[in-house]
Amino acid sequence: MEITKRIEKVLRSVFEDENIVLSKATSANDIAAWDSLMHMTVIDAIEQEFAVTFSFNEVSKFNTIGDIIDCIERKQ
Amino acid sequence: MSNTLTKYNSINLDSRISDGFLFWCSRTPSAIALNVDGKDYTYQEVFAKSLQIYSEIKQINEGFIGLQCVYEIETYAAILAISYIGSAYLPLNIKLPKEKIIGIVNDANITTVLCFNKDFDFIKDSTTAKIIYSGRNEKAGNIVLECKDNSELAYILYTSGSTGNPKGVPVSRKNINTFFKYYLNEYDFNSNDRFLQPYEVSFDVSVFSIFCAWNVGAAVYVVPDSKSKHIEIIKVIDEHKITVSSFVPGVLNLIEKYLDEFSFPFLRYSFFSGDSLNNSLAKKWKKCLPIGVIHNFYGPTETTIVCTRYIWNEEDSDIESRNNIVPIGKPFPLINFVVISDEEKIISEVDIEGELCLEGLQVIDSYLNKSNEENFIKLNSIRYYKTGDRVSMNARGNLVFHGRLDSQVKIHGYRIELAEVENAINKSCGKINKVIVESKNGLNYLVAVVQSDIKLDLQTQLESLIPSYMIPASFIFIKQLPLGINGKIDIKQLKEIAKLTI
Repeated sequence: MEITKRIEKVLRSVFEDENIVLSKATSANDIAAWDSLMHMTVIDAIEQEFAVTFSFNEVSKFNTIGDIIDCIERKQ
Repeated sequence: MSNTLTKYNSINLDSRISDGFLFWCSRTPSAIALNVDGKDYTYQEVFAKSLQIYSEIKQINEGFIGLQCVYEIETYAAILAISYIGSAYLPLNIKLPKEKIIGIVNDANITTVLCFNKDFDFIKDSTTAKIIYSGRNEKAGNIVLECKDNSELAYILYTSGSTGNPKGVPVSRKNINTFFKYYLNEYDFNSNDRFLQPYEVSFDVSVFSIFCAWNVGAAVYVVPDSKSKHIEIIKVIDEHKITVSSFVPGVLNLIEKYLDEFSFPFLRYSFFSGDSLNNSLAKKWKKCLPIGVIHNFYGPTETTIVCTRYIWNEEDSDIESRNNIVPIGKPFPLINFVVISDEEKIISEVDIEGELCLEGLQVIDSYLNKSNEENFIKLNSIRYYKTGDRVSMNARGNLVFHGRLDSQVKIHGYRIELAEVENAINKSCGKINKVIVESKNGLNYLVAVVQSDIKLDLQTQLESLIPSYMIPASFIFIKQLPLGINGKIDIKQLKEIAKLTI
């Protein structure tokens, strides 16, 4: 499964919302329930899914789903 | 340093909160006063903006003005402009539900709301308040500033009120100037400092971040609004070499896993207030601060921002922390306090818990419209504000916070402290949690709401940590604990979740 789809699956599970559809341009602002605490949960869940760990420096540059995908690709 | 100027020392009890800003504007007009929305503004530029807004409101003679909060220079300049005309500002936050904003406008009987966009137009439909739209991009021209005095108040804030009904808290110039005098005497803040401003303007600690900076000619760095504010806070501290930071302790929970990646060599003062500071997290945070010190503050809005202080250090805090919560320390010099029992008798022994009551120049005289008088009490003919917070004094004379009065409960005859149960759950699984009390058929029982993706069996581990009567009857696992707009856990929402789940 491509990375975007896998992240979409993670977010659907975290937010318990099957209607979430992601593109590389999607950001936290596009998902109403996304707040500071959810942010932490989302990052943890993505780290688990891809068996990677993000540093603060990396997380701080995540503005869109595309940024997360780029970071995962660099790590794989 | 050679360009460090002496601090502004002319604060009187009746000064306008903008007086320090005007002093520094004349001394160092080209120094940075504000960084907001990614842009630096000098004292002169902020002044020009405030003068433009002043020209739009100078005819107003109201004691206070509603103010729309936006994450732009306008709100900051407007606070100054409202202060020039000697009125108080009452911040209205768009993040609150519309009904709540309308409730505040009606309860306070606000006659004028100063706005920067059309987001608040709904106010016109449900209240009698008039909206003044501040024009953007207009130059102030040759306006002459003539300060006046419409009110002895500095600002009015509405507290969310854990019981549900928001209350208007009018903070006077006397209250806030007493607060400023404390900081200017106690701290060596100077014009080279860079202050962090992570708060909504409707949260009173913002007054500290903005005006302590402007009283010493320093710069204020506003943390951008974001869905990951904790990350933005760290980015601003790092990128702008912040020297004085203040943020709620909950931020440390959110960044805990990254704490060993940080070092902030410029941060001199790291202040906490607004919630309990966790001692283990404070220890990890201190490792990020080569020269910085951690001070833990406490204070309800009614006592003007904060009014007690504990100077954290690892050795003392390990001994003095209770349930891993850092003490709130000693009241500021001009604050008098008593701790009273359920029977309203003054407690003088150490380690005995009671309700904290406060009195002094920082304490408000009464609520707006003289409501909620039951929150004040006369003891030995002195009027005290009853905080609703349960504290005790330890042998070193420091106040120790035990929670809200309603956080200590009796279950089957046993007196239980919710913080102790929460701490035990945290020890058993490392998860953030909140314990609440529900009742059924007249019997109270504990419900633990634990932030976890998966269900956990905590029973066995808890049995080894706390007595069985303290183990919650029911556990709810949710992906996130609900937060209010100030970043604190929202107990009201939590109770609703519990009701739906059980």
